[in-house]
Amino acid sequence: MQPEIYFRYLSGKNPDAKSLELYHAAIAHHKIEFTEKENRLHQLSMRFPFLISFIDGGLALTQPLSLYRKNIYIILCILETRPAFFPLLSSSYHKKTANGFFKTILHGTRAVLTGLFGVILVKLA
Amino acid sequence: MSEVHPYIVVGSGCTGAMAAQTLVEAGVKVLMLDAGITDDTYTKLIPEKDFTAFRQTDENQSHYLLGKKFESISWDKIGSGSQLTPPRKFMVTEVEKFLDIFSKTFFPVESLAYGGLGNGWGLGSCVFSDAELNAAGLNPAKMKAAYQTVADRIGISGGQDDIKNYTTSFLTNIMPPPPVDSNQQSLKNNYERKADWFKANNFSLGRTALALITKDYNNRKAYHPQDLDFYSDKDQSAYRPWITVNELKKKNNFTYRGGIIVKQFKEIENGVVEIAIWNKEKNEEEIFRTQKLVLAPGVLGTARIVLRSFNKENQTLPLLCNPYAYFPCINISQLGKTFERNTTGFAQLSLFHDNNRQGDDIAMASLYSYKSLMLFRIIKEAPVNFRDGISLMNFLMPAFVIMGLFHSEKRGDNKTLNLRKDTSKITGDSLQAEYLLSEIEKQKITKRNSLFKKAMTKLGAVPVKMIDPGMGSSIHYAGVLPFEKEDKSFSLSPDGRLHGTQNVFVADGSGFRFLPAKGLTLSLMANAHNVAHNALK
Ligand SMILES: Cc1cc2nc3c(=O)[nH]c(=O)nc-3n(C[C@H](O)[C@H](O)[C@H](O)COP(=O)(O)OP(=O)(O)OC[C@H]3O[C@@H](n4cnc5c(N)ncnc54)[C@H](O)[C@@H]3O)c2cc1C
Repeated sequence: MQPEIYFRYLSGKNPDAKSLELYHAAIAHHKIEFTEKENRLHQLSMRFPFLISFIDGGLALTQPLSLYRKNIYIILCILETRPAFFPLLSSSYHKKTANGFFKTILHGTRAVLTGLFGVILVKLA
Repeated sequence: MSEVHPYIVVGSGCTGAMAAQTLVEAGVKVLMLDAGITDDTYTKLIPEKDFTAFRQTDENQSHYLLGKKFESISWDKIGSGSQLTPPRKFMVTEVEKFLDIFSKTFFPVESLAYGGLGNGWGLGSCVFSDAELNAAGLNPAKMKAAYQTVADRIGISGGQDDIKNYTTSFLTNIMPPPPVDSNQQSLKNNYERKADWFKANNFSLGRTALALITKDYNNRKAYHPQDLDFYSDKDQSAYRPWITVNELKKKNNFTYRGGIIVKQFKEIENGVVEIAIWNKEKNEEEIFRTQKLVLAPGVLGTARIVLRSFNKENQTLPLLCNPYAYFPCINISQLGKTFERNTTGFAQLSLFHDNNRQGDDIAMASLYSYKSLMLFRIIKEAPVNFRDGISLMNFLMPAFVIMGLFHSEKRGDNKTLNLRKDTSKITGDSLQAEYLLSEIEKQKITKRNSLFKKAMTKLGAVPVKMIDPGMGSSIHYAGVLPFEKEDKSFSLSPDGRLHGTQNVFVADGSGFRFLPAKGLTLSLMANAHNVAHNALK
């Protein structure tokens, strides 16, 4: 499944050994068998990781419970329980800066745009 | 013939615990039969630190936050019991095996745990008004005395404010509520500022009454918020029924037997009740005998046992369950703010809508701040990619107010249960349920939902979505053997005795003929105390 790419997509960092171990343990319980289309999207993500946010965003609008997203969701759940990633995933625990505020607006706008573009990408794939 | 026990109580949940305590305090010998599943695998792992502290340091937190089998990672739509974290999930262990239910319209949460559903209840405690008690078939004078007895046993905190009449009303010895966080304080301030609008529209807001002690009480410690409410019962400040049963176990006239599934009963000569049980450890049937049987296995559990006992396969029983939905709201004044270190996962404020100010048509919302259930549960609901969702949700989370809205519920033709033979099940049967609201009821709920959404907006928290987890998700069940004065089969006499029997009493909510929107559990416990008292006669 090459989870490292999705870990990097969510956190910008490579996963540590424990996070990977947790991922494999989680996948053993939550078996993920991609449909043909999900597999195509996954292959596309492997080749062009910058497309992941578009695919993820497009599916969030059209097929929110797709297994492609479930795989990323499992990684998100694991990251949220890793102390090393606490600062990254828990900005709501820290004082906000003006920079943080603008970043949120930027991410909001990006989320909408990637979603819209993603819908087309997912349809074409 | 084996020993005839003077009293047998079935179940260690809120109602079984209260009934047993009343009997034990009266000096009679009590045997409690209970499925009694326990599991402290996860609670043992939780460090002695507050939530924010261990999130930053504990390398093994995934065990109790996600579960060793990652059972908290759910990819389904939000349904009944979605809020149960791994340390609470044992509450529903083996339920599918022994409490099979089939329905396309009703999705209940049941428990075979030591302490039952009370292991995870939200502690919201309200007395019913006289109008509500009468509609439920409960005697107001007797219930008022019983409410006080139960409140003194379990300890209740609440506010002296506009909703006192709906929550603790005439009760004395109420402790002050725990501190309110700034998120909900801002709603309270807006309520006070716009008091005229709320009054004109029959809304009242105030501090939620909780079975949570804020002063040391009966060997239990005062509550200090640490955001651990969904994970542990530190200091036993939250009332859980096992606290009562643990205390009863110290008395000579009380015996507890766990690992038992009660199947059915029959009255034999001299009114002795014979109870057939399944011993889970030995994997075999056993018979117990008693002079008085007090059933408290939860409403659906009682339905199963009674239908089996009378061997009425096609008998239909009525059923009541409060319609319920969540509304995530954004408190505009809190956008971009930072979480306070130690807050609470329990409801902090309650909003009541008393349609005609007569106390007979009330809807109730509990308001929660969102923190310790974590980012991953809420991010799944957002229609955006996960990466941007992380920063957006972190921005929004301190401003989230989750409104859980309950509607009152009357009986109806399409709200029913029956028991079908099913040899594939270990119990040999399966409960079948149908729960459909009428069009008029649906319209009324939709109208009420809109009123609450408007009220929340006035409070400064804009509802962004409605999540309807389906019928059963309120986890408030009642009414399968409604109270009847006349001797009618499949009903209870007003003192809680099962019609058609001499010595079988039902102490859970099976008799309630109406379900007010307020949390029912304080009333269940008060009724259980009264039923036990009647069983003593
Ligand atoms: C997450 C959550 C939040 C809640 N929040 C609130 C709230 O804020 N306010 C409120 O008023 N209510 C709330 N409730 C509802 C409340 O928990 C229940 O109303 C209450 O606990 C019911 O108690 P009971 O004793 O009737 O039944 P149960 O708790 O179901 O207890 C049944 C007992 O019987 C045993 N048992 C069952 N069947 C058998 C059998 N066949 N043989 C032997 N033993 C058996 C079980 O092991 C258990 O001990 C909540 C519930 C949940 C799950």
